Amino acid sequence: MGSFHSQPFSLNITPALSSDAQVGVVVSPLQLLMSGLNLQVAISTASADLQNPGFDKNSISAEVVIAHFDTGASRTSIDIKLAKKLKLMPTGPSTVYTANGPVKMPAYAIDLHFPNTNLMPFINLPIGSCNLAGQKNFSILLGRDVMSRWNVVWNGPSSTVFIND
Amino acid sequence: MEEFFSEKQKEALNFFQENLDKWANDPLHKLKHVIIYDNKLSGVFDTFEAALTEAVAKYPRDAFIIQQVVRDDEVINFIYSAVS
Repeated sequence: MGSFHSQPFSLNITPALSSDAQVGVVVSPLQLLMSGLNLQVAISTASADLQNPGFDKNSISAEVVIAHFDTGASRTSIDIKLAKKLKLMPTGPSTVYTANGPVKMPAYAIDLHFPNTNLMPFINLPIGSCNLAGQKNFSILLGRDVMSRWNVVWNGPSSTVFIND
Repeated sequence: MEEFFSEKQKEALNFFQENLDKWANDPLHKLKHVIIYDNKLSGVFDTFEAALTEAVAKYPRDAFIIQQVVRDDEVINFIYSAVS
């Protein structure tokens, strides 16, 4: 079982305090409130693609980006510009239901790893795509397809999240 | 959206759309993941990964598509069926 935890603070007191010292730690919901949960992911060409006879193994591309938890998304999506940068080949179209209505966008297959955690990767994961041009902080929307494999404990008041798989 | 697909993939997409209604009414194809290659149904699979693994081993990467046999209005029909 792998795990990951996100907390917005750490405590390191040096030199050691005297025995009658008091320490106050203030936690805040602000980080989760303002930004939601974002975590580093490593996205790369789907492992299945390596079996393609015409696949140029020198063209394997991978990138570490920030993914945003999106409980409103049934499926994980990649920013279309990142998909082009990684030279991902679409597997077909998919319909993305946005606030402005349904939009047809290409679908892809990728491998998704979680660096600096021991969470299990997702191999040959089918994903959609979307336009995240207005988002500076993240290029992937993690959908319920990924979350449904995790036990997520969300402590809003302290902006702390624990994930186990 | 067409700019993301090769010419062969666009042909495959058209073939899929032309046959979607027929396959969606066929219990052997409904909700399955199908490979469309060379204007033919080239495989029917229970999972996307199984279809992808088969397709990439056999066909050029820019010449096939994988689609699930689901109509865009499928969810609405399901709800209708559940309450009627």
